[in-house]
Amino acid sequence: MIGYVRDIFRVLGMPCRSHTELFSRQLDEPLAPGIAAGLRVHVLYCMGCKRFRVQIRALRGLMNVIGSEANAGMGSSSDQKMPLDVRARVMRAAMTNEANS
Amino acid sequence: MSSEQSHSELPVDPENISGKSTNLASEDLAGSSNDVSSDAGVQGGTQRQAASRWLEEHGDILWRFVLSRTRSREAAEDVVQSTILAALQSYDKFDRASSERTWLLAIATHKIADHFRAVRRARGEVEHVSDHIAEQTTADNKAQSKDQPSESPNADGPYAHRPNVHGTHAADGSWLKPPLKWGLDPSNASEKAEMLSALRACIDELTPALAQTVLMRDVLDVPSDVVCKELGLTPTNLWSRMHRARVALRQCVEASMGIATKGIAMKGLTKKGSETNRKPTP
Repeated sequence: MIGYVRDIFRVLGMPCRSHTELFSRQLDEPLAPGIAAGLRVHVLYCMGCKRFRVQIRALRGLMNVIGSEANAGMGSSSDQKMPLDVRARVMRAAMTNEANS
Repeated sequence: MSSEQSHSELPVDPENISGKSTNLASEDLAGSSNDVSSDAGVQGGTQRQAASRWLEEHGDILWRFVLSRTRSREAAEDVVQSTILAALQSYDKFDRASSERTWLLAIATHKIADHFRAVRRARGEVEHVSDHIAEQTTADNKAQSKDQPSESPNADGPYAHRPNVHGTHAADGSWLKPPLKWGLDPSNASEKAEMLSALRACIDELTPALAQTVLMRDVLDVPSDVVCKELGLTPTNLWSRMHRARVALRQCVEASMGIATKGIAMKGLTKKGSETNRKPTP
């Protein structure tokens, strides 16, 4: 509990640049509860950090869309499959590589 | 944790944007490990068999992923070919921490980064200034991560001491140029498409190291620990890279969408604009 409260005050005492780093890190791993709580309090009054957080999350969502489009082939339908000629040339390169090794 | 916070500032809900398809993507990546027969591959057979199986099982995904980045069939073919050759050479180092597909896509992100580096060189562009900063920071983080247990969040930030690379913060770390309101509507298909296209272009402008990390972590949705393992990064390196990439992408998208221009036009001319730059007081 003491650690939790100390973390909140620690976060509130940081400059906004550190807050942006923490918002970014939060997308990669869960933060300690006190640090996350401190950030939640901070965005109540800091419009810059609040926008930053919303926007990097939105970008993360858009990047996921790019990834899932690549995975599901939602782009141009003619590009969904690797063309046979490309496949053949890649195979030939692999065989040449094998012969040389 | 704080993901339930209001998203009212920008009516783009990341959850909705990614939606089901994101889960599908990650499930697909994760699930592909089950498809891999353990005795297959370079060790169990010839290189030809391994390459043939990879193209059969992952070829289309690999093709779409690479093509979505290079946007040229010729370049995509070169990248896919060098990915397969590199995979054949390094298969014995593949420790199955990730699925075979993720591993191949990770190699492809290396090759895509190489491709854009070569394109930049061919255009006669000098190395990005931020490349040097990136290297410096990585060195800093390596030194720093020795002193700190990586699992405890370094709440002061991994590079609070660094100069202000992006010009968004003052020397004391307060906002110099706070993010502007985007006011974009995700349900508007054309706005979403415009943002996606801006974001794609911005990813290409990142330094190869940052682009590769972003492609793996955010685009392919590979778990952090797997990205660290594949790229040989400490968690601190990864957070630092991802943060730099996100800051750069946010600014780049903002500029591409004309949001920054509007903001600059407003600044100093209207009361609202000058208020934007006021440091928030705790």
